[in-house]
Amino acid sequence: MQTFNLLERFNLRAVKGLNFLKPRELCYVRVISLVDLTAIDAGVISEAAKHSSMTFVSFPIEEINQAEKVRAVIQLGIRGFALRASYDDKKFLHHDRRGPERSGDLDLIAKVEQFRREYPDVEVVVEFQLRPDLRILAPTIARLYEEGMRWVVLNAEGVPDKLRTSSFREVFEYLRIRSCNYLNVYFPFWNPEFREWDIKTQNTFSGLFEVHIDISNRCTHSCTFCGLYGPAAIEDIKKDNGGKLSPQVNEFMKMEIDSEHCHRIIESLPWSVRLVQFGGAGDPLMHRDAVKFIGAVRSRGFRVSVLSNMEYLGEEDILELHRLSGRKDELHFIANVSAGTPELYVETRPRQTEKTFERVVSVLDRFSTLRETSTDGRGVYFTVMCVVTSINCRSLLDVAKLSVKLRAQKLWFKPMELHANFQAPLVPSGDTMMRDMARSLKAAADYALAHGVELEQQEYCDQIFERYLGEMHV
Amino acid sequence: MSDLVKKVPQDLTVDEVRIGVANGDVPANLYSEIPCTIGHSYIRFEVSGNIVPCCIAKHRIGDVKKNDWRDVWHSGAYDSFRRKMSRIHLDRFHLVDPEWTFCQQCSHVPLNQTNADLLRKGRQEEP
Repeated sequence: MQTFNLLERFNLRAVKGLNFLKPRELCYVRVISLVDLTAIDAGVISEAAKHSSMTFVSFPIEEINQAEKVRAVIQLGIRGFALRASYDDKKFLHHDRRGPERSGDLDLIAKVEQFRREYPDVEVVVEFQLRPDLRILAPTIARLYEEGMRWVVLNAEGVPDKLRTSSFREVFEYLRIRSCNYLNVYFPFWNPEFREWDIKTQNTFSGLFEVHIDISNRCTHSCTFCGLYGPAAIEDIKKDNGGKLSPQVNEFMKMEIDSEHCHRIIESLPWSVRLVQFGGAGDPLMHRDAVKFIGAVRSRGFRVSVLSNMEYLGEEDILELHRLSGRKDELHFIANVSAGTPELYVETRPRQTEKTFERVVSVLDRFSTLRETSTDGRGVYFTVMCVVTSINCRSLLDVAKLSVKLRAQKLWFKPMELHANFQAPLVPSGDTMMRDMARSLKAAADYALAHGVELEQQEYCDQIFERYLGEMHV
Repeated sequence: MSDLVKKVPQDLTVDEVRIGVANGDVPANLYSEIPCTIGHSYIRFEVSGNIVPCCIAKHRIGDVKKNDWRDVWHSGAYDSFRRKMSRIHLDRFHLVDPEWTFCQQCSHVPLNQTNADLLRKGRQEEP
């Protein structure tokens, strides 16, 4: 099970332990007071910046007038400040024409505005203490949102357990009614499993975690297992339209995402996102701007995964992608090879020649070489994917050998029935074939693991071994 | 049009539900026990601009060409998808309603399992 450390997100009271951070995560340096800022030296800030996409320094909002100290922090390279709000019920009584239910804490709003005016180049977040009195908290957030604020941090320290979830829900309910749709709400939780809170409190403001963007339906391959371009799939589609492809299908096969739309989506993703995966009914790398999209996502600091046949990359693209990668598997390709030898590759993809296989192998090999020789530790990682069909199910060891030769990070045997489940003849079946497949899969899995290549979805392999080999050996 | 790509067989019986094939020892009756929380964690944009709440769902909620996706994410339609999926283990509509049988081919089992563990743990801690 994947777990996340609270340091990845917020509440970094002590700057110790920054190594727990995954690179390029949001980082939040919390100091008790601006006076204590002397304790934060350039070394700590640069350490935080190395590990995070954005570093925030937080201090009480009363201290915004200490310009010298704020400037000193900016000079250390900090571009984000979190202002910790405190309320005064009496001030709230001086509400404006909107009435008490919509005004919020006017004094606080004015202070935030003042800070944003004085330091227009820095990102400002307001950290609120959650409190049962929604008459102040929720309208204040909504008013700040209307003034252009796009981030808030909600802190629930000191709130009784019973009230926590329900109070958060009430806040979100209010924000939704006021249409604060582009707000990002974060919790500085003691709880490392922040997703739990996103779901429990129905925090759809920042809860988004994984994004798939389909960018191209075009592809030049005709993989037998493909649900769109495979010969069997084509026949199947033609059958529905009197023996030929309908204009709608032809149009669908040519469709690509509009570059402007794609960039707009990437720019507007909240910072809670961990993974952006590019795919499509075709091959995403057929899109002429695919590398630019990957660059845009990487500049936001998110991890990228691309599912491709890996044929279309030139040397320039490879170098650019290597540059865009990170130290820890932040740019990952899932290369659908599905064959370990040129002959089997051609058998799996009737429209391709052995040259395509050589091309794919050379692209993947080039990525590994760049990664292994890189001086700064960055590099593109990839998974060799193999859709297990009745064609290749007896030759899985070759695929494992190829992935070891190419220094793949992972090897993924994906069952045909889950890839495109309507092509019955391609699904391995029958006792003899299944046992052959299990033996081949066992040999492949053992070989890969012995040579340091991880298995993706190893449970699938284990299940096959148990079902077909377990019986044989008992 | 994308339905061309993901055709889900409609004639599976309950015994044949293949959930778990890709994910090992996850029980086949998984969504009899845990809710689906995909609507909170995931979004997919199709080439055509359609917004899909789950990668295998047939449902299209909104279009990035017409709306900002964040408006769609916060819309009532998306919320009702979330609410529906949060009751999958109680209503079990994926076993009977042809509109929802795609859930039998779920590829987000690990994510839902993780979320369910988190929620279960949170519930125990809460007084």
